[in-house]
Amino acid sequence: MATDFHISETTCCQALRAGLDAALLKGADSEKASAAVVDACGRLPGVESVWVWGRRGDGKLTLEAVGRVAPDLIDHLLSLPEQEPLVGILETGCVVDRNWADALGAAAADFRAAGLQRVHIVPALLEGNLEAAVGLAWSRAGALPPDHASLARHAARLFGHLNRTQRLQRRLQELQDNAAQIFRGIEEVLFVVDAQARVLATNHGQPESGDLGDLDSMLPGGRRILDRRGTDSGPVDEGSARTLNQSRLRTQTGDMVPVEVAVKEIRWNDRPAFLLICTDISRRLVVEKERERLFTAIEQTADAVMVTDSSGSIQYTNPAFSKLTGYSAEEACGTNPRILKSGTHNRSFYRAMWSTIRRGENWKGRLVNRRKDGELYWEVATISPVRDNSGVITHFVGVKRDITQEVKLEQKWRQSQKLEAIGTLAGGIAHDFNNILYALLGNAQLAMDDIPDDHPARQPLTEIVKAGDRGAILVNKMLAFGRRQEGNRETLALQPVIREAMDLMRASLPSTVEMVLDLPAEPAHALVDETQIHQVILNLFNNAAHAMAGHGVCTLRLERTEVPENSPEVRAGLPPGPYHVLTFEDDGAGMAGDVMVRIFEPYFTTKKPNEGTGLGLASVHGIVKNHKGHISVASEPGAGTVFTIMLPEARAQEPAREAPRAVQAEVCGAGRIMVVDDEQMIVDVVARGLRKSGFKVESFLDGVQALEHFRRDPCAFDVVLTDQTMPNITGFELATQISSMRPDLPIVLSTGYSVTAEENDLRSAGISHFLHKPLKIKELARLMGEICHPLKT
Amino acid sequence: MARILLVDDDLQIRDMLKLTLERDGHVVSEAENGVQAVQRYTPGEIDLVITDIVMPEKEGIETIMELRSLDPLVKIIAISGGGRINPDDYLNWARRFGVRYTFTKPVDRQELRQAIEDLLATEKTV
Repeated sequence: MATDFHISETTCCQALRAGLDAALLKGADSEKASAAVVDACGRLPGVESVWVWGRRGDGKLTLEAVGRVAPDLIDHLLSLPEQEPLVGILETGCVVDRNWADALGAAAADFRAAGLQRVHIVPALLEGNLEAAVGLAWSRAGALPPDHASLARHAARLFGHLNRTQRLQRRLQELQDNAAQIFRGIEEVLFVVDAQARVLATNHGQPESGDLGDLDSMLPGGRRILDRRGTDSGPVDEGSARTLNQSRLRTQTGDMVPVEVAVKEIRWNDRPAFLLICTDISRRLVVEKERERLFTAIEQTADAVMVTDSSGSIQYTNPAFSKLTGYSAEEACGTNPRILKSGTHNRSFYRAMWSTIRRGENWKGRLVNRRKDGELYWEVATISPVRDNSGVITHFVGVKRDITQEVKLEQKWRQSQKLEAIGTLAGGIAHDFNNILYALLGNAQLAMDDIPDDHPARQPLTEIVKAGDRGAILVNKMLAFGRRQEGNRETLALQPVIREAMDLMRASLPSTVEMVLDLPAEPAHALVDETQIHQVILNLFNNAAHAMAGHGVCTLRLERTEVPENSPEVRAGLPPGPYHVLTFEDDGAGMAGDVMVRIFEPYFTTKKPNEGTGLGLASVHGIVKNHKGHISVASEPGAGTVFTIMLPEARAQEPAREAPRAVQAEVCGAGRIMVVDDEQMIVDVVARGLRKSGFKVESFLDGVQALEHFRRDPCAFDVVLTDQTMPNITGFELATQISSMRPDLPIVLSTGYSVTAEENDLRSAGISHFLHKPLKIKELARLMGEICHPLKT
Repeated sequence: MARILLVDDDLQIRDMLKLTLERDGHVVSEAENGVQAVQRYTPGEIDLVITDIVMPEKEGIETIMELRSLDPLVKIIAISGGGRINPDDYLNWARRFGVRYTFTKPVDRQELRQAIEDLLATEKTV
């Protein structure tokens, strides 16, 4: 047997080798391959047992095939690849041969027991890794012939290659499957396209590879996007935020879905290609549109909106904010709202605000802020905390509105309410107060009557009277101030009114005060209460005299002006139009700003207690306001004061002063006259004459009848003309009766006899006019006309 | 010299005026308000009425009207303490109703004397 080894072994090995190669090269899998190896090696003469170990994916050797191996040894073969020192030896590429017993360790005994004397294991290392091993065992003593060993080695190597290839193929398949899962599973639609926009692969409801057609057939506009790749894909138009890379994808159902497409350069099948990733943006477009709409609303609202982060740093302001504060968005962002601080509110005010909003509550209130140009303004603001999903405050949003105008109006209103209240109060107590004063004065005077001239009590009593007089003046001033009356206003030229005031003042004018009048020649007509205008001028003069301390020049100037639509006065509430402007200027001490703003306040005065009441300018203010005018003051300390009063111009009418009696105007009668005379002829003539002039006349021959008729309808007549001397009832008596029913009715008394009655008597009977007979009809008609249409303004 | 009816709701005023008028030799009767005034006025027994305008129960104007209807020739002096409405308004009204003399409180004593003298002196002759 031993010698048989040597002679035919080489031939045998060659044949085996050829057979093995043929089998393995046929593309066998590792099962068939390991079987072929076992078969070939098993034919080696003298070899009894053969086995093949192959490497698995995890790097461990596993038993692939056995040939003629006793069952109890198979267990060893299964476990040996994990044992040292065998694995260590094999991994170094050493063949296990002579030292096989050491290498196999405990298993060696079982091998011997099975009758196997020698073991030969040859490893196959590929790229340094143990890929396979082939084991031979035989019962003869003696080494394996070199040819056998060579075959075994060859087999191991071949098998190792095959095994590795197969393992790698399996791995590749795994990786491919993984990739396919991702490819199919993601939401985005992917296209792999070549440079000509042919789709090479896609997960869009199509098989993954092959020529799937032109890109545009599935992604309209895709080719355009591909061509434009790399260029700026910013928004195309502001309104819709559509980017260059937006397109629409045709779905399975034929709908078009808006997508955004990203283009990436890749290699596909080792050739340059492009990966297009399409993301469905339909939801995003909806959200964007809504955001856009909200943003536009905030940008365009008239309320100022300011957003800060939780530390107070401004992050956003809208255009209304800029309009309100004067700060542009760029200037405001990054700063703190304290740039608006006006210094009006103290620190605790702001502290309270911050602690409220930090607590998570809304803060609402008014504050005075400062614009960029330094101007102060009032605003009403609501500041709200903004939370994120977890409830943490991340921002504060403030909405503000300019209420400067409203505050000013409120202040004005409050002021006028105050004034009205004072007026009402004054009116309320004036009555009782006057009674008290009267009682005081009257009794003091009575007391003075009772004592001799040199009585010591006379002095204090005189003082009481003086004090009482002062009280009376004060009450009148208060009443005058609080009154909302129309007064007795007439359309007058202001020049004579002013001159008269000057005459009144001249008595109290010290020689050291010079009064300069600058009045235009053209009469300046206005609807005024003459007495009140005198009061105004007197008060202003008193004020000036006090400011000048008795020395200086006072100038009173009158000018006409037109107040146009857009002037500050109109904005302050004065109607536009023609005005007469009265300026009262002194070169006295002048006033500082803080005094000037209060100068018209009732009881505000810089005078000492017995120098004045503080009501003078307040009543001036009231009078000017009641005349629908405007008063303002300008002053500098040391540089004098100017009061400017504007009174609306009135259309000049015939001044009521010049008696219209001289005018022989045509009388247009439109009145109802009762004529009473006991002489028929007179009644006829008078009635006819008056009717001719257009009046309605009812005549009576009997006074008593007339009175009866009148009683039945006292409102039927506008004038009564009655004779004095009549039987039954005199004209005087008739007049008295009539006027007790209608005190406002003008009654004309005519008589042929001379009258000794005093005018006051007549008036108390209600007689307003007195005529001597014989009556001149023309005169009578004119008088009637005057009575029925008085030329009062 | 004359019989005067004094009408005013204020006691102090009445006392003071009564004393003042009596010292001038007049005989004074009083009324607290318009109702009493009308009750106490008898034509022929009173020469002159001095009345306040603003009073409770019957305003002075109403009183004047009523007195006038009792006696068209009644002589009246009206005085006013002022009040919620301009005293001048009241007195204007009074004048329209034939009151020849009107005064605001506190009234100057001499002026009042003059007015009384005036009214008492007048006769009506036509």
